Amino acid sequence: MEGRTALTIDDAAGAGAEVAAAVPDLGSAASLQQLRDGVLYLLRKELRDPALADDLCNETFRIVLERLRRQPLEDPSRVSSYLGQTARNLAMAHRRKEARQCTVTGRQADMEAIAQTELDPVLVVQSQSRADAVRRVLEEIPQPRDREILVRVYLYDQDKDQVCRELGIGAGHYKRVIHRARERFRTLLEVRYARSDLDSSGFF
Amino acid sequence: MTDISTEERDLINRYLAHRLAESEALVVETRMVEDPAFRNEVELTEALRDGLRELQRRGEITPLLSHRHTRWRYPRFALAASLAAVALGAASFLLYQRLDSGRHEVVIASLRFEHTRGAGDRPDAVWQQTGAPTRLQMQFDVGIEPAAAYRAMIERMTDGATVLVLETAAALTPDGSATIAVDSTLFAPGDYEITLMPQPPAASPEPVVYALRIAGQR
Repeated sequence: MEGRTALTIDDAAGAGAEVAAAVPDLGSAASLQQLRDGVLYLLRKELRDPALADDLCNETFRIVLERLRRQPLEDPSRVSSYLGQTARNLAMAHRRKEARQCTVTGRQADMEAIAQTELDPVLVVQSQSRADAVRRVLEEIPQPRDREILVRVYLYDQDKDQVCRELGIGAGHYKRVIHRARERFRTLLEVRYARSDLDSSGFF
Repeated sequence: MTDISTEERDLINRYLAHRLAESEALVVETRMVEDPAFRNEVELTEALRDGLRELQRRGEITPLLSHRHTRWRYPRFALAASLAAVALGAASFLLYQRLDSGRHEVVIASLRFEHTRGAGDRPDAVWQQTGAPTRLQMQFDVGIEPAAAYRAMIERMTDGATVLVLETAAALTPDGSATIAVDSTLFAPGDYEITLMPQPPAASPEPVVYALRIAGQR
């Protein structure tokens, strides 16, 4: 961030003692790391730019910690909500700033249109390996109905009534059926892939 | 870490499909920040959704739904289980023939299915047709915590679909195995899946699936 020193998670953890007095939930390095992971995930999802998300995450914590030093929250349990809102505001402000700075004329417009349609190679590889993992796990799920229900719910966004009607599932059984399908998928995924592979494929 | 309910999973799915009101989306995002288990669920759901979309783009969804896929994971266990089942079946068959050589109305063959999952393309048990009407006594190891009762569903696996052959109640033996007896005339040569569904369904462990191969007469 221009003109400011980004506050890293280590800085934030170092400031833990001070912050703990104001917001005990933030004082613990473990919970601080969890909150940071949450804010970072939110920003990555929002911005689709890991480096920028990292910057804005640090900025979010800098703003929130400074605010907490000045004035603790009345309700410390709302700190995650406060962090999330700050992160969203920063992401929105970044987009507005980008839109303002975007002067598009003639040839530049063509070039930017091309750039926008091209995907980040890292994201392409990640998307492909994620799809490969999903296919492999679905292939190994023993119950064909589990595959079918996962595709209907998570690809075609079919609602409960439609899934029950088309697969002949009683409405009372739907929850259990979808829960089991999900759990089988998750279990197989975790059996088949190391956590680091799943991380690099964007699973967790 | 918290358990994620079906309602929360539905909420997550609708969030990722952009089908939530802004206020609901804010609630989801706050949970994502504060609850690692919830965030983990969002990440898994998002990856599943994105993975499925990519597979659809590649044209791989239809084959995935129509083809029977291998589910055997541990080749050695499957081989051992198959050999054990075949040996047990053959021994039972020979023993029965010897003890009961005067009667030829019904032959009984015993097949045992182990709880340990099979692997490769090998079924849990193989039975070879003999030409004589045979009563197949199937005994299933359902694991260390059997349900109160089971319903057994036998389906024939074909390339394009599964065909229900029989659905029946299974009996439980004192040692906790489930058993059913089925007439061999119901079976054509091919692969079958036998699903034991715990009863009552609401508070029971998950169904257990076994594979049976019926080999044609030599």
